[in-house]
Amino acid sequence: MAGKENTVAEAFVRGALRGGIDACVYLPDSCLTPIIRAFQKDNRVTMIPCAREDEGVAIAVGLHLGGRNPLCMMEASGIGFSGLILARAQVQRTPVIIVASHSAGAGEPFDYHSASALLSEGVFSGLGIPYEVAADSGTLEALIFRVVQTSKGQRTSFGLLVPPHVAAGVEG
Amino acid sequence: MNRLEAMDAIAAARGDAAAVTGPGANSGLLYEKADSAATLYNMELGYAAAVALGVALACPQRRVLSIEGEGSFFAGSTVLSAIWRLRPANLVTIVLDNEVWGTADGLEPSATAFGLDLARLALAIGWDEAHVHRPKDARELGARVAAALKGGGPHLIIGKIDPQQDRSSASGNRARPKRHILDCAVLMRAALTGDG
Repeated sequence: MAGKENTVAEAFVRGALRGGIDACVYLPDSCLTPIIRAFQKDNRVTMIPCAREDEGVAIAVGLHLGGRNPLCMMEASGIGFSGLILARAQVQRTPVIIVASHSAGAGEPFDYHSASALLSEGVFSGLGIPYEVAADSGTLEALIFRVVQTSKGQRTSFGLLVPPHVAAGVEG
Repeated sequence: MNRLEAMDAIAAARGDAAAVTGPGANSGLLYEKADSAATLYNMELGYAAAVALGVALACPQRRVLSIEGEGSFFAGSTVLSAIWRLRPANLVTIVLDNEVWGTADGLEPSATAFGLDLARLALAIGWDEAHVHRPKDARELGARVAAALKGGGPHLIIGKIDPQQDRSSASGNRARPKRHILDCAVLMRAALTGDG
C-alpha cells in the first residue's frame, strides 16, 4: 500500500510542477500526506505550513499577488473554514487551487468524515468555483496539470477533491 | 493617539511598501493619505495579515505592511504562528486597537476591552520582545513603522487608539477607498510582478 501511495504522490507532484506550481500551503491530512511529503522532497516548491485552512488560503492569495503559483493542500473540512476568503479570491480574480481529501461520492468509509464530505462540493458549487473529483489514481498527474492550466488561464480558483482510495492508489 | 494621527504616521513612513488593509476605517484612511498601486483594501475580516504574509514570502525584496483593527486581527490571529515560524524579514504587521468593533454604531466592545493583550498573545505564541512593539503615541508609532520597514522582521506593532477620539468607529463616518477590490488586486499584482 505504501508503495502505491508514494507512486501516486510522485505522479501528482510531477503534474503540479509541469503546470508551474512553485509553492504549497498545507495542513496535514491523512489521505494527502504522501503528496505533501513528496512536495517537501522537491526543493523547487516552497512549503508553507499554517494553522488553519482559511489562513492558508489567505496566504496563497498573497503568494499569487506576489507572482507565485501556489496550491493549498487540506482535508476537506478546511474548505468549510475557507468560504469567505475563497469568495474574496474569486471576486478579485486571484486564483487559488485547493486540493482536498474527501468528497460526497463513493469510497468514504468513516462517519467522522461525513461533514467534510458533505460540505466540500457544496462550498465550491455555492461560490461558483469549478471543481473535479478525482476518480482514478492513474490519471491524477494529468488531472492536476489541467487543473493548474485552467486555474491560470481562466483566472479562477479551482477545487480538486481526492477520495482516500484514489490517493492510496487502490484500484477497484 | 487617535486614528487620524496614527494613520498620518503610518502614511508618512510607508514609502513604497506594499500594503494589505483590513476591513473598516483603516482602509479608507490609507487610501486618502498614502494610496499606491500595491495596495489591497478592505481585505475580509481576519485575513489581512495572512495575505500580507503571502505577499512578503513571494516578494522578499519588497517591504510589506498589513494594517487592521484588533477585531479583525484577533479573528485571524493564528497567523502569528505562521509568521513567526516563517519569519519573513520584510513583513510588518500593524494593529490599531481601539477596543471596539468598528461597525454599526461603533459602540460594541471587542476582546481587548476585556483584557486581551495582543502583544502578550504574540509572545505566548513564541515571538520575542525585540519584534513586538507597543508605541505609546503617534510619533513613536511612525518611528517604529519606519524602523521596522528597514528590515529585520517580522515585526508586530500594536498601537492603542483612544476610542473616545475615534469618530471613524461608526460605519457611517468613515472614508472609503475609491477603487474596486478587483482593480486593486489587478493593480497590485501588476505593481509587484509586472503581470496584471
